[in-house]
Amino acid sequence: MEQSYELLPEQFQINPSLPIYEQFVDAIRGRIVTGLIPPGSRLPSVRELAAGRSVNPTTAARTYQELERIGLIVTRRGQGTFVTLEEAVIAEARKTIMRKAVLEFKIIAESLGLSAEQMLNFDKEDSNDRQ
Amino acid sequence: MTDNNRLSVPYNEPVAVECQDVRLTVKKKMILDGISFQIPTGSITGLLGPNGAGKSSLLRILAGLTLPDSGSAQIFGKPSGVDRLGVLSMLPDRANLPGWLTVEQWLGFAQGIYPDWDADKAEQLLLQLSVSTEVLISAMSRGEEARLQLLTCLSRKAPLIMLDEPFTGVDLISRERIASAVVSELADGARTFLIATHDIREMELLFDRLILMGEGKIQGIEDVDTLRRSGKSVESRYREVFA
Amino acid sequence: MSAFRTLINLEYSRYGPARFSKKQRSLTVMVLFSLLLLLGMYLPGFNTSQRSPFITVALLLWTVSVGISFLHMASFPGQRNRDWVLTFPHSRLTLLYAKGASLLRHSLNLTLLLYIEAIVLYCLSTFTGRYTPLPAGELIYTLTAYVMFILVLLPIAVVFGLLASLIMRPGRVARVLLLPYSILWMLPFILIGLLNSQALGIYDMQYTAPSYIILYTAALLVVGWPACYFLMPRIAVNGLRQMGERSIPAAASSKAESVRKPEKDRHLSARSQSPFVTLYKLDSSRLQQMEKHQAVRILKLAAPVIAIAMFYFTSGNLNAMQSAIRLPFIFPVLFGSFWMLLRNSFERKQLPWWLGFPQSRLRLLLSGIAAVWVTVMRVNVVLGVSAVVGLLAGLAAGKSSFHEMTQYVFWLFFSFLVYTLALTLALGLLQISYYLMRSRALSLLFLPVAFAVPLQSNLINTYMFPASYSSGWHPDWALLGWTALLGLPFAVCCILAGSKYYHLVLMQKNEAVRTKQA
Repeated sequence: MEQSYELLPEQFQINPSLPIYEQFVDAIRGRIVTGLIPPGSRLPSVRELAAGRSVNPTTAARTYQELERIGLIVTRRGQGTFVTLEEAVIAEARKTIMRKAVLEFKIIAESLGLSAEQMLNFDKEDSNDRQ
Repeated sequence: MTDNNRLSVPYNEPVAVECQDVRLTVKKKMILDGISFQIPTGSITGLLGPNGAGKSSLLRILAGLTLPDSGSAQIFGKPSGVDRLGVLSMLPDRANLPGWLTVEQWLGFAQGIYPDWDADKAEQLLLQLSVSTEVLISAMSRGEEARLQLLTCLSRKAPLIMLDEPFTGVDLISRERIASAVVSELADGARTFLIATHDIREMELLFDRLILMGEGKIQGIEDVDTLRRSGKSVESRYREVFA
Repeated sequence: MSAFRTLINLEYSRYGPARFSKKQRSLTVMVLFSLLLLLGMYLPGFNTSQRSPFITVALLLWTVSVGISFLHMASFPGQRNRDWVLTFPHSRLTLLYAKGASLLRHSLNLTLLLYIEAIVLYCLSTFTGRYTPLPAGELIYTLTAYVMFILVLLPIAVVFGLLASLIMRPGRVARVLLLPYSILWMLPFILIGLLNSQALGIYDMQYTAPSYIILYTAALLVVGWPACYFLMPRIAVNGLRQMGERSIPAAASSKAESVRKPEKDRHLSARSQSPFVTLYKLDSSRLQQMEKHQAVRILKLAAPVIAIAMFYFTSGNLNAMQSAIRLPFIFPVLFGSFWMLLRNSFERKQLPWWLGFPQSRLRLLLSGIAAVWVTVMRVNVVLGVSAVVGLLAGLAAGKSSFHEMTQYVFWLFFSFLVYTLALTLALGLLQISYYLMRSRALSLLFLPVAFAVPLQSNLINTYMFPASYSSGWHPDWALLGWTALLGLPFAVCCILAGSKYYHLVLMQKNEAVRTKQA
């Protein structure tokens, strides 16, 4: 299958102070969920991923292990690694991202001494003002 | 991956390199002061430290170019020395390949000299590292020659590869090419890399273990993953130890 | 086996003819050939009897083969590909044998050239009636005997040169061996003086007859070859291993010294206003570094003693004194000239810095010359004074009369001046090399200059001193004066011309590259 997509965007910045495979997992999950990497696409090999990003192959391998554990990718023996075709898994991954985003949102709100609702109301008023 | 602090290799995992209390004194100056560490097979270890820390001397001992005053250095369970040169492939610091030869001639010689030479691999690396074959080695730029030196190291099947400052005076693109060639070599897990460098940024994503050396002593042995879990990068750890 | 062959080829290619184009190769060979032929024909002494061409070639080959192999081994630790070579997965002995075999191949190439040369010389000399031709049978006998001798000698010469790695090593044994080693190496140059003396007639002695030569060959085979076989593993283990280690001590010691010294140096440079003086100090610091070598220190102590002894013992004998007064100054002068000749190849890495100094090129050249000149002259003055002391001791012991003694001192002084002039001229003339780097054709002209350097003692013996002395002999001051009058301005021209093109020394490497690619 032709690869008409990128596993990670070219300008993807790695933060060297955090586990790299987690950053990879987050980024690739996001791209699968948003459809930038369509279901059923064939993923580059561990070696290609590692060489392309100049990271330790163990990092790349762990990224795939983690994605496989979530069920987002499947390895078919002798053929390679593919994005899952199961909509339910992708939907679940979508929820994970949403939960994480909401959680971060709430944390920020809390640090400002606000509730999530107050933040959202502020956004509404603010956009009305700007118009 | 081991998580304990000493980071010694578990009993069942094969050890690629092992040093025990290696000491070296040259003209009353202590160069290596009781160096002990282990490197598991298949890992890529960064030997980091400022200039003059003794990194090169340590690698020279491992390659059998220098004899330690005391202590033992073992490569795959046997004492290092000239007869272990067959299982390790070393890129020496600040050395040049025979400058009077063209790349092609040199590769011809290398094939005869190294019993474990892999000509197909060399062909493939010529493309990957974009090294041209008709040039005289002495006419190459530093970056080009560094790539050729790495090619020479990687075209062997030796299970241990030691690179001593592979980036000195090498341009950005060559650095990236070298790093990525090292990675694709590593992927099958059959090779062990020990890379001495003070250019941390190019290699920091590559290492899975660090040996921090300063003033002839080991200042720390780290598992990079554990380091990142605690929110530190290789660079910040390096600064912590040496700044 | 094939790995061994590859190693030999790699080592051979280091100085191999393949590095030059066919045209350059044949041109070099032709120039070398005709030059040596001229030397053989016109320098008396080289070619006085039927055997002399072959004896000379054998002696020359010894020094040259030892020299090639010595220089290779001595320069190997400084070569930037050393670590690569030393990490080849082969035993040190294999590496050493590969080196030896490739050096032997170079020596054999040279032997071919020189032996043909000797035959041509022989033919030319018989044609011109210098000596009568040998009967065919004896000629073939002589040719075969000498060829066999040379072929058996060459491997020994190569191994002897490889010993450099043991000799150059710091240590007590090496220190003791250095003197006999260099004497053995330079033996032919010492012997040339003896060979030339017609009184001895070595060329016609029975000991140089083919049958004796065959005997020597057998002796070398029985004693020399096993000795080499025995030595090779020792050179491999002690010499090559040492070389792998050497870079660290060198770096460490220079570091340690630079830590200790700066105070003194800063003091010096602050006081010396003139940049020339500073440059001179920089240049001579290199030579002083060599003087610190323990072997050199021993030599410094030994040389005056040897000079005193030599002149004491020869002061009773007029004939011996004739040879003695020529000897003491030769070696320092030769050393100085060789150093100037080879300096650039030793210091290739520093040259870009040197040329980057904001000083005129002329000044750079002059400071380099001055450093060598002063060093050599210092040694020669010490040797001269020691010689005079020896002579005075001879007088005191009643070995010579006062009249004889003053005459000897007079001759010694003449010899001193002759060698001073020779040194000055040689150092000056050698600077023309930079001018000659302008083109390939010109650089071939440097060959005769380079040749004149090692042969200067022969030239001096031929032209400056009479073939036989009598007690009433007076040195030829006029000849010395004329040589100085003509030679010195020429040397100055050479320096001026050289300084204009000093920078070409940096281009050398690149030029070789370009021609290769073309």
